[in-house]
Amino acid sequence: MADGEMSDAQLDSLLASLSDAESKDAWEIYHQIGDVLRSEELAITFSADFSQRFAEKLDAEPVILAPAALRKNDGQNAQNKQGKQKFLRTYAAVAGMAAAVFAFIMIPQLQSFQTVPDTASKASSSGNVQLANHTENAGMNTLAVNEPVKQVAQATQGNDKKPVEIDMLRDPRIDSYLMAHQRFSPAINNGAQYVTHANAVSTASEK
Amino acid sequence: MMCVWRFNIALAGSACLLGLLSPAMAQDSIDDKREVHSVLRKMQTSAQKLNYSGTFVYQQASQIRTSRITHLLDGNNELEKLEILDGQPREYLRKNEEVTCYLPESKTLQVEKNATQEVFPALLTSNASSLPDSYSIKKADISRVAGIDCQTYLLEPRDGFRYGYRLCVEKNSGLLLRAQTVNTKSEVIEQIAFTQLTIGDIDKQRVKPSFQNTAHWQVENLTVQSNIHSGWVVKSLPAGFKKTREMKRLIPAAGNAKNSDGTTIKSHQVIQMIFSDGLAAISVFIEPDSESRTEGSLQQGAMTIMGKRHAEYWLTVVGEVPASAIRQVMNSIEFKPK
Repeated sequence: MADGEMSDAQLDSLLASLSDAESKDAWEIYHQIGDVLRSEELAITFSADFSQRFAEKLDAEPVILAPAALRKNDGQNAQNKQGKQKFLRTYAAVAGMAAAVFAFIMIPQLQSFQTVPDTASKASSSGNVQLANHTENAGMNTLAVNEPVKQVAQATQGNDKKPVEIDMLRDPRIDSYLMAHQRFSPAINNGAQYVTHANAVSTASEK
Repeated sequence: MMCVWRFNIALAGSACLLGLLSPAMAQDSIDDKREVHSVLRKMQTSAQKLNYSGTFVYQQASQIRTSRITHLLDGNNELEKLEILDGQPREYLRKNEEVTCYLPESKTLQVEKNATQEVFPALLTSNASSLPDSYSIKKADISRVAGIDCQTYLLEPRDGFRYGYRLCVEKNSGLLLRAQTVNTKSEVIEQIAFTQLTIGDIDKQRVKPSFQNTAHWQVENLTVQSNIHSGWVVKSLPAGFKKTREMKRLIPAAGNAKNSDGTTIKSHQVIQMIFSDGLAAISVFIEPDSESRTEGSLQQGAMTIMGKRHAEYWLTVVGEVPASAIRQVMNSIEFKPK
């Protein structure tokens, strides 16, 4: 998708599926993998709600009009100092915000760094060849990345492997729908009548 | 520096190698693609244009059903008779898009004006040209079905929203002799195959209904309104699936089936939308909710059916696709009137 090598049909459904949290995660992870391949300094683990919080912070951030205000006040010495102070205050606020953003990016990473250095180094040795020589940071990143990617792969492989979580939907009407869908479909419900009845009773009692 | 130099040589070398190899490979795959394309097209047209009669078996998980199909092209009109040979006798007489179902037990005729689904051996829908988007198609071994040699083609799904298929196609006529549905473990979960087939030279008498004196039979018109825009949409369709039809139809009373409270089930109106990726189809049925239903789903062979309440509506999704695809469709049905 990012490379523009996709048929329209696939793109349509993919764009629609991006509203899912799972797909969004996958999207972020793929781009993070790309970032890490370019530079190990980009090997940062985002906290779970990073995007959301970032968006909120971005919304909340004051629009920086200070430089324009400064220029406007340039000729007036008396107000210049005040203007500078204003700018500094805004600057401090922005910097503080940036520091906060930086902090909450780093903190989870540092925490996990302390708790799982062993698994991280293991992951780096068994992990992706290109990432194997990197610092433990990068190793940890593969660890963080591997899990969800696997999940996504499983999800897209269809659910045949999962134990069938199909609950019984014994409704005498079912066959009519099957027939409406496909004329020569073997009926699901046309077995011996008592089977249908027994199932109908059991679903009723389960309620 | 040395390192970079060596790297360059390696790169040039491999580029050279690729350069030598790729034209031949590309040529091959283009020819393959062209052949596969023409085979699929022929499969579709021969099922519509040829005269043939045969018996086929449809196996879905542990269930099987035998049917006999007789197909005739009479001038420009397609005439077809499909007889269900197992269980309750039923006969479908088709003239082009109009299908009449004969139910001798209840002396009923059910008429469908715009027949919705293609029947074996014409499995492909109008959306068939986009098949390569959803499946990688390969030519496989020669096989034999109902005493006739046929060429196998493998259709491997490109994602988890559909099953794979093994199609066996008669070489001269291009008629589909066997279609097997396979899951990710390459297990056949559903198949439909001719057990006997005669191509060409079909007497016109054989596409007449077997039942005489049907004048006093009850007639049910199942098509209420073909081609509608109800305002219902499936927001996130699995890739490759397109809507092929939307109509208002009647779901007929299911024989002598009864509700859990003992009342006879009457026929009722539903909106049906059909989606297809060219081979697999998904039907969505929408109707006012009638309280007494149990939400849930059921799987038999490749067929999954799921029922769910949506505000004051009852939704049913049916298709020969994995449960994940059915679930995705079910969870993204919305009413968006314009």
